[in-house]
Amino acid sequence: MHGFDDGVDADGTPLAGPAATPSVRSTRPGFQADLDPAGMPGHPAPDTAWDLVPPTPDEVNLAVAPWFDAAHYTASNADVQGSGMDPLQHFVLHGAAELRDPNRWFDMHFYVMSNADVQSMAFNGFWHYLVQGRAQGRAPRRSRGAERQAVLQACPPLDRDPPRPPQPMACLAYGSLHHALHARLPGAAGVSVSVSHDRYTRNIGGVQILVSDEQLAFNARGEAYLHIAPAVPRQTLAPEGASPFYVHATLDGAYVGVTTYADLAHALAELRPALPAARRMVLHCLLGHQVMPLIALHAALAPSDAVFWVNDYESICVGYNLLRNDAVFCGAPPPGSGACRICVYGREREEHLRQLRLLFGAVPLRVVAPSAAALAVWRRGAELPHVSAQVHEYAEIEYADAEPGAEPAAAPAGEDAAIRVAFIGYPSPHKGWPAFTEVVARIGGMPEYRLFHFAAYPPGQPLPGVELVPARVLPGARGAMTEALQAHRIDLALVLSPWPETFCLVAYEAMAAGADVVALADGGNVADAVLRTGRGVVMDDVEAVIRFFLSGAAVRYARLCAEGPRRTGRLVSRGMTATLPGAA
Amino acid sequence: MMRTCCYTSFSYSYLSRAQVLLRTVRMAQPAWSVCAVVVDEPPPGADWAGLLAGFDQVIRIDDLGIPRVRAWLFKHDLVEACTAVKGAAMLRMLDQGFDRVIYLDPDIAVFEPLDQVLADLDASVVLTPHQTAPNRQPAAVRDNEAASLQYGVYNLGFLLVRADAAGRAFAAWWAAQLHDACYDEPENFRFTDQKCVDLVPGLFPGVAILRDPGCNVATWNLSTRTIRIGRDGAITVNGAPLRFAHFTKIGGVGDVMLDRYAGDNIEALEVWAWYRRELAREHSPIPAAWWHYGRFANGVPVTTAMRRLFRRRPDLIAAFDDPLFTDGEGYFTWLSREHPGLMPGTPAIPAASGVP
Repeated sequence: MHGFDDGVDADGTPLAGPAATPSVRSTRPGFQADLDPAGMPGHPAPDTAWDLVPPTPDEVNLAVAPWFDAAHYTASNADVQGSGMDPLQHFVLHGAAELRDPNRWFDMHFYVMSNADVQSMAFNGFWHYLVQGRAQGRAPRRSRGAERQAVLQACPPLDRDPPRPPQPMACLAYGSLHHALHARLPGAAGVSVSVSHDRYTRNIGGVQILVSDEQLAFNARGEAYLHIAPAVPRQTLAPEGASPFYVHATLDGAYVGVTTYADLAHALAELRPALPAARRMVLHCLLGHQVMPLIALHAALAPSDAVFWVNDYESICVGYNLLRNDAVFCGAPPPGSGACRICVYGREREEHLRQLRLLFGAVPLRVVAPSAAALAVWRRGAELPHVSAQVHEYAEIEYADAEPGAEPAAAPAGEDAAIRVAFIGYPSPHKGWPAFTEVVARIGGMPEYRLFHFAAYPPGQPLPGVELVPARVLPGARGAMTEALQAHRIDLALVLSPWPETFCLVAYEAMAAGADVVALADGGNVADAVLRTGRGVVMDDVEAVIRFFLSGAAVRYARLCAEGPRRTGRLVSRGMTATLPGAA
Repeated sequence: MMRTCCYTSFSYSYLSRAQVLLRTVRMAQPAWSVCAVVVDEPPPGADWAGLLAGFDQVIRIDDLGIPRVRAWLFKHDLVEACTAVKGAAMLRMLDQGFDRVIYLDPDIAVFEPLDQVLADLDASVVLTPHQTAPNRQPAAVRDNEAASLQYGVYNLGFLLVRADAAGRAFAAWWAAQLHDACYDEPENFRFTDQKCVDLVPGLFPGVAILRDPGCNVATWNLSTRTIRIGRDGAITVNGAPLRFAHFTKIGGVGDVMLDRYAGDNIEALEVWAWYRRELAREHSPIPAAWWHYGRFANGVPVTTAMRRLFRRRPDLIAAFDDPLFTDGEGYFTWLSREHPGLMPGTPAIPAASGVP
């Protein structure tokens, strides 16, 4: 609810118009920020529900059926389950009047209560939304619902993941560990000891694939790659003192076994005289690790180079996405600020930073960020001693059509003319899935758009009206996502990450597939890449994205894109530290 | 340097709130002396001194010099009682030599220092209105402004009194009002310590109205106040620093009002969610709904009707020094005999059929 003196006119009506219109930016030639409030052509709508003729139950039935979620309705209404009545019939005849929700994304109570005309006509609110409200830009539920939900559910990481005493684990005998390392390290052209939060060979995700690329790139040069992950994963640094501390060791991609920091440090110190001079320590992710044993490991290896990757912002806050209360990008304010005080990560941030200061104070680290956007956030938010700080991107797009005009952008004759809009990857909040669901709730069913979700696995709750396309990037199928996006001729990828992504692989995959990207201003590398390449649109918030689609600006933008060549290519990993200039 | 005492009044069921208040006052105003006025007795076995160890001073109702305090206390329900002692406690603090005394409700949390904003007013008495900007939405007018007209324009969750002549004159008047009739009886134009204060800007000189939107932020003014959190970490309300927020009826109707008036102001939800987590951290050992003075000595709950009957009858007030006693010829025995319909398990008797 807005206040009289804040965004509301004298009649209490929320203000609209230029002052309330968030900015839309793009560097694509010919782009004009034209969020036409008149709405989509082909969607003429009277001003209010008072102008509508009351529908018959059959008309309501016909309109709402495609969007009605019978399973959800039945699960939420025990009386319907027990009545034996068809859920849709129940909704049309009784449930709507009782303000029951027809699906997960439509809040009947909110809609009816916030639209006086609908309430006074006693219309089925969902029917009204579908036939009139949506085209008028009325909200199907309270805005910022995902953030609201995140705030209500947020809890301090130590409450989610309390410290536990170490459990005895079946551990490699020291002799076996020493033997395994001795067999490989002394003869190698170089040795990297790499640290991250999990076994990259077992869990496949963006960072894991990049670490795998790094390993392969080093191996290709005859260098050995020893990787360490905590045996017990955690969302925070491991508490000090828990000893022995168990870690998984992986050598050149082959699992060695569970060992301890102490045994590893001892073995590396023993082998050191026989190790090559090119030795480095690479810190990818510290979560789950203890700081003091890492310092000891560094001392045992005595590397010529030590690198800390800003793969996320764990070096600024234990909330490594910098989402205050898991909802809003915080901007990395000083610890102890009012924002930190009310944030679920605030209390633990102090101790987290104390430990990081120990590490950065003891180990001379080169800080490497995968994008200029990430480095800018890091410089602003992290106050840690370091040798140098630089940008080294994870990957780059190699375009197949180096010359413009190589491929016509327009859809082949006979294909539908709808703009193809996609969400790519795992449906997580950090990747903007809640924002995508908001957009779907507002534009789903509009003939101008066809919606897709490209993912390895279906989401827990499929979104009606969104076509699921299986696509899984694996070490042996690195181009799978790009190829799938290209095959479906995706026009716009919604990469609505609410935090400053350090390097967003899916945004690059989308661009490599010829799609343009819709990003949020706080999206870090996503927004940066969009504006740098002219391959998309950047908006202030999700409401602006919704308006972009509802107003038809998205259609006009996609047509603008179609006027030029559809440039496609493939995303090529650079091997992270293996190609870092100045590496030992 | 100005000597400031900040006090709050509560029963043990609000101990966790009082602890959060104490902690936040200590952070924002470390030089203030913080006093707890406790209108309760702890459950058997509870270490009350330990529970209240963080406060600089603890005042119990027997310390306030109220004549025949048990009989007086019985006239009040829980909220009325915790409010009624505020006047006597204010006089006591002023007599202790503090330059100014500030009352804060236990369900308030202080975020930023208040010294400057209070010094700027340079007043003998400082009040905070429930609303400082008009509402236009009918529902908001009904929930907020109409409620203020009924229950009091100023929220007495905050009150500052300076130890000067005008401040002391106000404090004496206010304490007398509370001693005589600190009741939740809006039908009689009374609402605890609050409704009568509508008169104060007219009755006393040196009264200032604190209109800073960062002060006393609560669900009854969120409709016209927007909380923002900057990238610098500063929390502001309509552009002013958030100084103190009032988490009225959290967990109850306050949550409904928060939902209604915070709307999509996610930052307001963040502040309220923080307060809920702070309360949960307290792990209060006090059983829910505990109030020693809420039951007769034999464990029978005291109802509002029993209290209202008592406070309307000077003869009963004169007759029973401690109405909670149940041995011998006490109020309980008298009630059982004269008004069995008021006793638990008995259908209520309509007023016209015999309740005096």
